[in-house]
Amino acid sequence: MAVGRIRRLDAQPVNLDGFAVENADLGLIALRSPHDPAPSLRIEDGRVVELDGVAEADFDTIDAFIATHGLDLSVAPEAMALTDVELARLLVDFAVPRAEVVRLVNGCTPAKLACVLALLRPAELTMAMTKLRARRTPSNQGHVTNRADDPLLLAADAATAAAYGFRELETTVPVLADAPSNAVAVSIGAAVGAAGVLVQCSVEEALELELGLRGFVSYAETVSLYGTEGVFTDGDDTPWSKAFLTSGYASRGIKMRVSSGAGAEVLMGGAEKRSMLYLESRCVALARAIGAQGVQNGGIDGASVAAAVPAGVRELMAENVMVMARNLEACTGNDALMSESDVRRTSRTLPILLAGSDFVCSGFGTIQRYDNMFGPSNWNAEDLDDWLAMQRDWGVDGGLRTAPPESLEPLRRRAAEAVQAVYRWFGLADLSDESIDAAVDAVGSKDLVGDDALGVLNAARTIRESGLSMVDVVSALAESGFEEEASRVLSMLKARVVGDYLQTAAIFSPSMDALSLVTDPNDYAGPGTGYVPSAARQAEIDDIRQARSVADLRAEQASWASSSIVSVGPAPVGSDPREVVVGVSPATGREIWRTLSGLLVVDVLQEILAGIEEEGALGRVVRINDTLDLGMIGLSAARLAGSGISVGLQAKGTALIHRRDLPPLANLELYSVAPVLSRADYRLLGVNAARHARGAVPEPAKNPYTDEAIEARYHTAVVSLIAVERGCCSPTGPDELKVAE
Amino acid sequence: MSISQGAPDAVAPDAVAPDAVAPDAVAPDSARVVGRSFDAGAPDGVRAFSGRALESVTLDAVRAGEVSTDDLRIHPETLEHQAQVAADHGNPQLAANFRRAAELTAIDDTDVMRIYEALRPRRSTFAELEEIADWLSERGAVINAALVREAAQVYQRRGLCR
Repeated sequence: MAVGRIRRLDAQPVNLDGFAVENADLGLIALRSPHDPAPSLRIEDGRVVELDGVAEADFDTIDAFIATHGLDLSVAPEAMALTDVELARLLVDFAVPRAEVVRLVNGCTPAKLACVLALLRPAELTMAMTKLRARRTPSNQGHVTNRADDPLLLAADAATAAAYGFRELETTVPVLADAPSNAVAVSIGAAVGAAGVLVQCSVEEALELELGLRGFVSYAETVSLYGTEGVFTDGDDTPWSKAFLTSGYASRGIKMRVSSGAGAEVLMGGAEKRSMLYLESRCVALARAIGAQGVQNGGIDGASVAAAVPAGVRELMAENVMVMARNLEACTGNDALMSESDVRRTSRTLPILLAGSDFVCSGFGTIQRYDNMFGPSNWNAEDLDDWLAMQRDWGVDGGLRTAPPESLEPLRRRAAEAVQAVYRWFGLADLSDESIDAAVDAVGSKDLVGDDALGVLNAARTIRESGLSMVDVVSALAESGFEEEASRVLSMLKARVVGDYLQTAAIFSPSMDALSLVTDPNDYAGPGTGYVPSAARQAEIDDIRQARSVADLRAEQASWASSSIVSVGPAPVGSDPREVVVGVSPATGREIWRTLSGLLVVDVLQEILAGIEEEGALGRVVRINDTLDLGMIGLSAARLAGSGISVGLQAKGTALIHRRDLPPLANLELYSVAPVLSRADYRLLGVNAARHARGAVPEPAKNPYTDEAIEARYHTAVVSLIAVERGCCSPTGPDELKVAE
Repeated sequence: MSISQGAPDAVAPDAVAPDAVAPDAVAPDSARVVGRSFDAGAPDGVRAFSGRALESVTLDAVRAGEVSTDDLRIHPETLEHQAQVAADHGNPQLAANFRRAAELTAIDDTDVMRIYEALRPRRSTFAELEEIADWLSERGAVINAALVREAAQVYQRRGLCR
């Protein structure tokens, strides 16, 4: 049996994760497989006759499409002649313009770009991402789904996600036929939360296209590419069908990106011994070749497979940078939960959050983990405050903002009521007010009143079969008193006519400006350049709801004020050898009334006095007014005590035992961790002080055990309370205090 | 449910753009793309597939039942404009996609979905793909026709024809 230290480690969440020995034969290899082809490109008469070691006659469908459509043959000889290291340095060097990197990468074969990206170390990937992402302003995307496909909850959660700042929302279904209902509910909810939020419903390709054509969604993403022909064909598509589908979306003015990422081929048993990065390089080259404006990658569903092998998380980020280098929108994974460990999942995301991305997450789960019909995300509703804190810690824009808690009840209600009105308008379903109340307050679908699965199915079928379109929904919203929301939905439909959001990396600002590679290009060129949040945006990042000022703490303390501690005049020097003096800090009984552990200061004093008396000594309380230093408070009090022994107490709860002949910073016993102290601890301190007064040597009192982040929790309060203490300091003598019984 | 579905029947095979629209009224210069908002009303000159000026597509018009699906569809010349913008921003493949898309504006939703389905693996014989290419050519969708012909060749070589 393992020793205790290992037994303890075995119980850590990280050890629920699976870790694989690298195995190129199975494709369980991140960056460089011995079976990856050497980069090569031969061009004859303007035609590619060899690509990465494969002759034209042997091209599979992926090679063939990339060779015909994907490469800039005028730049290819120049690009392929550069060494991998030379190209890698161009990606990282901020003095080299993004456009120059994009120009050269257009001439790189998939194997070449994979070799280049495999050279970049994590800090270099972060640098490359900072420079190469398409859009200047970072953004984020979130999942909105629930297990019941409940339209009221979908709408309330979509509005909530929009309020938190997500600019794209992705829904999907546990029951395929529910898709039209989900798409409508999320689109309405998003419009209640904010203007300009893009919405998609991830389902099988043909149905997803239909939802787009009907106007129920404003972008599409579940258009999957794979890195080997076998898996691609198993996925029931070819590069040509995907290219046509891509144009089908554009022909209706609908934004679209493709989806790929490490691990998919491994999971489908078709990796052909290639590394994950090489296979993904084929996907990304193909994405560019078919004319998609962007790619969702970085593992996605296969993220945990990549994370199981050495350098797998680095590979996920390299995939994202590859997309950016090919001049495409990057929706950078951080999607499926890749570890049970909070440490690992944070580690996986952090460099991307720091670098900034077109969409930092390609699916932040804005709902409860159990309600995420894509599976739990790497980031979920319970992590929203963590994300906001991380943005604030690093001073970076991770795309989110604080939704004021008091705003959410009316917002969620309006979203649910809008859906109720639209579903009633078309006779889709009669959703009750009771159901609205439940959806508004629900943490997740477990809190709903019943699960009307057939009702949802019926509504979805009616939407699909009746020829209803999003214009009808606009009309129903307007007629039902939701004019602003109707106007927002209409704006999204009109955006399709203008087409600006078809350009690379486009999102809408809340004022419906299209921000894209074209209108908001990333101009990072080293320190002092590139995206900086506006003052208003920085304030959103900084002003999280938990932040407290000194004024906040002063007000909180004032709410505990009482007449239980009063001054009765100047404190005399005592002469009774049984006397122990309790010296308290200047703000005690003036501005500070409660300690960090939540005890009232008067209760703490009563415990100390009781402990002193219990041992047959006499206690009295004085306020030291000229110092807030606990050692000096204790020493000053000891010099007033007939026994020469004192207890020093800061109002925030820190305490010690002092003796009049010791140096100020020495003491006999010390409680340094005020937030964990209980009444019993303070009583023991009184007892021990009395024993010292008697000349005995008691067993010293010690801080209780704790492994909590005490400093993190209380340091801001400590700083504020110390400031209050300093404000109460004055060069006056000590006061004798009377403490209520 | 006042909304008509699909493209107008009147679209002639060789006229991708509805003929009611003058080209110069639709294809704006690329400068107008930058940093503009159309929330308060459409940017000048943008017309829908139907030829209707986008600024006339208002909430009141929707409520009055005076907005059709084609009033909210993109015009092929707008896609050509977007293709030029994409090409100017280092992405000729995105431009090519927008040009294929411009052709497909004239194709019905159901036909778009039918052709997509036909291009999936082992759905069509070589001859059926050739027929689709001809059908597309007849409707002026010559770039898409070429794409389908190219697919037929590769599918045959790789065993992806039915």
